[in-house]
Amino acid sequence: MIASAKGGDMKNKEKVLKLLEKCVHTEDSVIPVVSEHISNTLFLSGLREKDADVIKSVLNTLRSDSERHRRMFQHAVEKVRG
Amino acid sequence: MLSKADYKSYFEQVAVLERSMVCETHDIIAASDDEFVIETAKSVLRDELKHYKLVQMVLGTYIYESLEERKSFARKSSIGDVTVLFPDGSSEKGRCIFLSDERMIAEFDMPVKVCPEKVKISMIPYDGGAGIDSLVLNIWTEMIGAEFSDKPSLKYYLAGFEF
Repeated sequence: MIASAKGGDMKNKEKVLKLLEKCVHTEDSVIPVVSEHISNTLFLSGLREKDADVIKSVLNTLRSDSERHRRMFQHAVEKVRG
Repeated sequence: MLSKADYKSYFEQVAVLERSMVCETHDIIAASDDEFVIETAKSVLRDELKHYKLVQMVLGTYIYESLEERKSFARKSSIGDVTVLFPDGSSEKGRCIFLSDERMIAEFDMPVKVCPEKVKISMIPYDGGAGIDSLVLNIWTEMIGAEFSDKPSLKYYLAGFEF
């Protein structure tokens, strides 16, 4: 069998698994950092209310997307593992 | 109440994490030949690029106060793969985190060696202006000077290049 250009063999499968697991781990790191201040009323209290609302909205987007990405990567890990 | 310096530190930390996600997701697309994995990574990469730009917007609009910080933010920044090719034929691979007409700053896993001679740099942006299916844009430039730093960022060593 001819291996694909990216080396479609067990070695490559292990490499992709490691990369996917690294992404799960990084998303795990992102979630607590962006969540840390969302419900903290003192955080951003030094900024104008309108500005604080925008920033809070950004942090909420980062958190919800990161949680979704974590699930997507975990699903990909399980699919690659077979 | 947090100070502006606290906000700056916090959002710069978030920016590093989001940039890491862009790079790590891009690595998966480059390494995999599984269509499901590639499509998953492409979808996440699009989001992560947006996240990084959102955090940059927060820093530039609400956090950075000084004129220098705002000017720095206004310059073009881009994330992509960087290859530094030295005259002796050796090379180093890293990731661009800042690009302007005059200079580039990149992250490396190891400190980049100082080289007084001209070296070549290849930079392939992840967003390329045409989305992640257009990763062929390849910028080569002669270096006329180089500034290197071995100060690590949160995860990488930084190197700066003057064109």
